[in-house]
Formats: sequence, structure tokens, C-alpha cells
Amino acid sequence: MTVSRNFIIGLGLTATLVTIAVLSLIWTPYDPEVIGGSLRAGPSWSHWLGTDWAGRDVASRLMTGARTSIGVGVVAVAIGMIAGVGLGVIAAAHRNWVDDVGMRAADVVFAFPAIISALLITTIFGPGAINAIIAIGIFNIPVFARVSRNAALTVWAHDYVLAGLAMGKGRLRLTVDHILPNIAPPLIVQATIQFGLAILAEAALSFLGVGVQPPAPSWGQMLFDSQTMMAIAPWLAIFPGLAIAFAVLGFNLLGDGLRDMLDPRL
Amino acid sequence: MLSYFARRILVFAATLLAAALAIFVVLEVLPGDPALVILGLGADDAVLTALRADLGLDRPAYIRFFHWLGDLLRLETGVSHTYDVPVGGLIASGLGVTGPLALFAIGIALVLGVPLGLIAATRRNRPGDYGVMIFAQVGMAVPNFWFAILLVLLFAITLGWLPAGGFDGWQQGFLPGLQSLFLPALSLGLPEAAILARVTRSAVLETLGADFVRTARAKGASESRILLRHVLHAASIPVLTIMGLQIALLLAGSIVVERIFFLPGLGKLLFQAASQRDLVTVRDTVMLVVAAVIAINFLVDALAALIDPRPKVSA
Repeated sequence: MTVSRNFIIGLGLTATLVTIAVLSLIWTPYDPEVIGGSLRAGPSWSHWLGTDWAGRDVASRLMTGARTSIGVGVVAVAIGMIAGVGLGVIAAAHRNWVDDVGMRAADVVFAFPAIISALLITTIFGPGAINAIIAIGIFNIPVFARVSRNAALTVWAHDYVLAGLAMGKGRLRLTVDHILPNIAPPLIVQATIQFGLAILAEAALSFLGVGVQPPAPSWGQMLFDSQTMMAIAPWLAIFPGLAIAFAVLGFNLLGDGLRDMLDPRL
Repeated sequence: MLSYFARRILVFAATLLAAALAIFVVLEVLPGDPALVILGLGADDAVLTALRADLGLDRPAYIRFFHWLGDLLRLETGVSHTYDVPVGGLIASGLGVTGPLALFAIGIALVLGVPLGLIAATRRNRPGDYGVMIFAQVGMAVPNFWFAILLVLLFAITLGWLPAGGFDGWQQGFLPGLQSLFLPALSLGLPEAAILARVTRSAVLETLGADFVRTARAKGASESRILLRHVLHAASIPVLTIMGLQIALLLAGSIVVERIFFLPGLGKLLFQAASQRDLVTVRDTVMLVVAAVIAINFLVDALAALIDPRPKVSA
């Protein structure tokens, strides 16, 4: 197995992101939520990436924002993966009405982009990080359901699985013993890509004000705040955007690289 | 072929029905008392009772659902609680902005994405290919709302060439309208172009290895004829399918982009209605957006079946 270039660059970017997020738990240059000092100061030796409209250190806020992005990504992908893979392997194992209904339901959910679901939920329950996570997680369910069903169907076609069935092994047993371990590679690739998409969606929702609520820092909300000060403090609009783009790029490259390595056909 | 389309139409109708049910359950069943959601906890009892009667909440939920479905089939919408006008009029005026914006963005994505993908595929593992693939990776990672902000920073604030936002309506003329939609459409279209370039590249690469391409080459067809006549035709199916799937994300993206450019489109309508808890407006607007997504994907599937009759045998 040759290690792909995409994989190395992707791993480098995502590892940096995770390191920064973990580091922010014990150290940031300044307290990200303390206001005061010089407002909208440009990048300097004391504030590498400048300060925002309330005098808060941008670098420190970006570091804590990384934690928010990763946290939302982990939970949203976990929701999508657990529910979606469950649905997908059950559908593939039985291929009866469960398959039909499940896959049609996945089609319906797929017609609701995360932002639309988030606005629906916000209408009833008000804005909040939990609602954003749920909306992104729900959108991930049909993605994982389809990938796992398709992958599981090819495994079910193998003779050794049919032999197991003929020997009286239950479909659940076979799913746990043979199907799940064999469909892990495409699921890992998909999870990586969905993680990048979840970071994008969280940023969009926080940008709209229906995601993570202030004073907790999030990259999307930092971008929204920067809008009114673009002419006088353009760096406030540059750095959070760069952070989002590099994070998403990292996960996309990691996913592409993993696919190149795990699925040599492409 | 006919039974294939009959079955697809049935599935299409069922999908729409299920989507409507999902929207209805979230907005009108989950909260218990929709009137309380609209008016808030401190609402006056008399006002609450009046609104409940107004919304028909004295009837059971399933009756209200069928009533709403009937309204939808007759293309009738409810009355917005915040604006006190039929939602249909609000949607129509929003659609006058979001519709052209989405078309403009798709146009940009197609004009840029497909040729770039073609260029990359025919120059595989050469500088042109790498250039396009880097563009694709960056385009997919850059959030459209950040790209929109950067465009405003460059073209509106620094250079002063284009308006930073706002839309005066089509009655000001076609060109001024198009000008106000240019930056928003670019910020939505360029990331889509990146995805299309990638899909076109891999679809063309796959087709270039097919037997019928070798046959065409053996018969002496010119390389450009093979590419335009045979390869692009076969590669159009995956490209079309991905475009259909991207429509949902494009419409979702327009909610954010419309907010940046202060455009009075469907996204603004939906966003404001959601913040003001205007359930009826949210319900009917979301239904329209979701129905559009489902309908476009249905059309794409049908078109793909017409271009290539093979999938319908197994489906």
C-alpha cells in the first residue's frame, strides 16, 4: 500500500487542527472571552492576528473556535454514522420492506439540507449549538445509510457469507461478524468527508446566528461579526475564513488519500 | 420504459408526501401548541384563543394536515402571522430574486466546471490537471459565505466596481439587476464549479477507457470529435446527477449568501420567518424549497434514463 500525497497533507492539516484544539484547553495567548484593551488592533507582536471589535485576541478565539468545530463535527458525524449505518446494514441484511421504506425515507431526509432543518428546529426551539448538531447529524444519516447499504450488499453477495447463512447463522450475527468489519473502509472515508462538511455546516449556521451562541467563540460567528468592520479591519474577515478553509481542506484531502489507499480501483 | 416512468412518478409523489408530513410534524405536532410558539410564553389568554381558532388548532392534527395538503394541491398558501398577507405573495417576490440567482450560479458552475474537468481529464497527471485539481480542492474547502465576504472586500470596498449588496428589483432594468446578482452568484457558483470540475474529470477519465471510445479511435475519428460527440455524452450522466444533488446545497447556500448581500430572496424570507417564529411562512417556504429539490432530482433521474436507457432495466 503506497501512502498517497493527499493523505500526508490531509493528515498534517487535521493533526495541526486537533493539536491546536487540544492546546487551547490548557493554553491560549490570552483569555478568548476577556474584553478590553485596544479594539480592532491589526496583527502585531503582542496580538499575532490582531484583536476584534471588543478587544478580544483573535488568535486565542480561533484556537477555542477549533474546539467548537471539532466538537460539533464529532457528535454530528457520530449521530449520522450510528443511525445511518444501523439503517443501512439492516436494509442490506433483509432486503424486504425495511429496505424499501428505509431507503425512501433516506431520500426524503436528503431533501432537507442541514441549514433548512436547522431553521425548522430553530423556529420551534430557538437557536442553539445542540440544534445545529442535531440538524447536521440528521443530514448525515441518509449519507451513511446509502454508503453502508451499498457496501454491505456487495459483501452479502460473497459465498462465505451465504455459507454462514446456510449453516444457520442469523443475519444479525453475520452482520456483526462479517459485514461490519468489511464495510469499515468506505465508512471511514465517508466519515472523514462528512467531518469536513460538518465543519462547513456549523460555520454557516453560526454565521447565520442559529448555531453556537456567543460568548462561546465559533469561526462562523467571528466571520459574521467581521462583516460590519470589513473596510477598517479586513483581517477580522480573513483569519476565521482561512481557519475554516484549511480545516475542511484537511479533512477532504485525508478522505481522498484514505480512499486512494483503501480502494485501489479508483 | 413506460412502467419505469410510472413507478418513478409514484415514488416522486410519495417522497413529496413524506416530506410534507415531516415538515408538518416538526412545526405543528412537536411543539404541542403552535399558537404558544408564535406568541411566546407571556401571551395573553384571549389572544392565544383567537390565534388558535385562526390557525384551526381546535381540529385534530391529521385533519389539519390533510387540509394543508389540499391547500398545497390548489397552490393556496396560509397567511403569514408577522406580515398578515398570504405567504404565496411573499414567496413569489422572494422567488423573483432566488430563482434568477440560482440559475445564474448554476450557469457559472457549468461554464467553468465542465470545461475545466474536460481539460484536466485530457491532460491527466500534467500541470493543467494539477492546476484544475488544486482549484477543485480549494473551491470545495472555501465556505461560500467567506468567499462572498472576500468578493465584497475586493470588488465593492477596495475597487468599488460592483455594489456591496442590495437589490432594487427587476423593474430597474435587466442589466442593473444582473449586476447586483453577479457577486452573489459568483460566490455560490464557484464552489459548485469546483465540484463539477472534479466529477467531470473522473467521469471523462472513466469513459475515455471504454471500448466504444477505442472503437471510435480505431475508425479514425478525430480526438475532438471523440471527446465532444462520444465522451461528453456518456459522461453527462454522472455530471447531471451530481448537479441535481448540488441543487439542494445551492438553495441552502443562498440563504446565507442572500444575508450577506442583503437580497430580498426566499432565503431572507425563510430566515426572518424562522427568527420571528412565523410558523405558517416557515412551513410553506420550506415545503416549496424541499419540493423543488425533490422535483429537480426526479427530473434529473428521468433525463438520465432518457440519455442512457440501461439503468431502468435493473431499477
